[in-house]
Amino acid sequence: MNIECILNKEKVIIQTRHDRRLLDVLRDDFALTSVKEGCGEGECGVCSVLIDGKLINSCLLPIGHVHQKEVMTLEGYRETTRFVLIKEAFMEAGAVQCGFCTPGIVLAVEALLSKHPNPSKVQIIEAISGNLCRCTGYQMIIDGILKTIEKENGSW
Amino acid sequence: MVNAFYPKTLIEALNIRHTHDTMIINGATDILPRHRPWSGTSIPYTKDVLYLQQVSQTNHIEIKEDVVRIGLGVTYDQFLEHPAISDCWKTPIRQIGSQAIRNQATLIGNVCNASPAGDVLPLLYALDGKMIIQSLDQQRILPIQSFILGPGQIDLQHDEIVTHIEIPIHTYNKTFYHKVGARKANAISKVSVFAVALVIDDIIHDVRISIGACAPTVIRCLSCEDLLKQTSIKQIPTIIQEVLAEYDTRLRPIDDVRSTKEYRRQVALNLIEAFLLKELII
Repeated sequence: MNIECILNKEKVIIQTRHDRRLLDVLRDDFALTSVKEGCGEGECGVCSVLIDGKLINSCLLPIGHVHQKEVMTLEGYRETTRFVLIKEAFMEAGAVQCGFCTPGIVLAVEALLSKHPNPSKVQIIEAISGNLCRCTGYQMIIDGILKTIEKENGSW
Repeated sequence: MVNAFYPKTLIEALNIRHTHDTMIINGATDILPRHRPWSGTSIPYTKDVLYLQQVSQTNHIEIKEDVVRIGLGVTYDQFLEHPAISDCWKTPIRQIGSQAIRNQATLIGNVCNASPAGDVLPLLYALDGKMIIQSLDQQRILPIQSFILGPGQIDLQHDEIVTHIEIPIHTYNKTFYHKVGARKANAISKVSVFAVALVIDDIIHDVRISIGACAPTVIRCLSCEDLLKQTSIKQIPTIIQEVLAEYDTRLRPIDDVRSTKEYRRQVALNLIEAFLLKELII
């Protein structure tokens, strides 16, 4: 089947079988390896992508679901000025250790701030509750998000 | 490889259901873990699949006077973002999965899975939700408790599609929902209780209590509710043991990886007691 979508701001036509997950297509066909497989069942969030700006677990998405949608992975998002703000804030807060969860967390932060540019702490915690991190204990990630908001200066 | 169908309209989808034996895929968040492929391999579907996410005519919520109609493609996130839906209805949905799951998973998908722990079900049982079921030749309307036959079992024929859930709107001034899970996000319920009541001048005019994950289907006990209706909230302490004993006869919890039968039974009764003694008598 042919799937038309926008992938990281470029129009693509994906020719593939219907019975593949978006996760596998992104990694194996497009070498977009920021998208990882952790649990493979929607618990850990390391396969997170944005679809039409909303956070989605790509391990739970049959490829046909992205037809005529806009898909963004960290490889596309890191070209934005918003990403630079998050990156600097996360570096200052020590929010990145092994880095395995980081692409998913960064996209979860984008999804949060594009909806609530000035979120409460509860909204922050809820927004990353589907993204597991085994290094930081989350507090440094929350600090990184709070620092992003301090720096954001109308970017969202 | 099994065949796949991507209809764009409901009538196309119904035609496919009429002529092929298909598994319906809606949000897919539950189907994929159940047909989980190894990394890089194809999804091991066992029959032809009918993907419905391109059927746009049924992916919205309509509110008509005294009823809310939820289309088959409506996600939890759409439901939570709808300005006219009451917070009491949103509370159980807000606690399902994580934001990413809520962006993709649908209410109708959750109902059609018919899990005893399905988190949309207690709400629908309490509020007398109805399933609108369509085939090429007819429409059937079933109350939720007739639609759900048992764990994973629903009254849906091979040529039918559930197109909507309808929930009647009534006024309640007491609402209660408690879900017990291993953590706040991404947890499958060990036990849940959803309850509403209308109390005017201390008299209970209406009360509905549903209990999830404590039997093959969600439990709602009409005779227990009748014991409470038209009584004064001041009478609750004197009748509560009788009410709880009656609920206890309905609970059929099991031991499994998430919890034990005795824990579920005790917590369900504690939650009903908390609703009656703490929520109603204030």
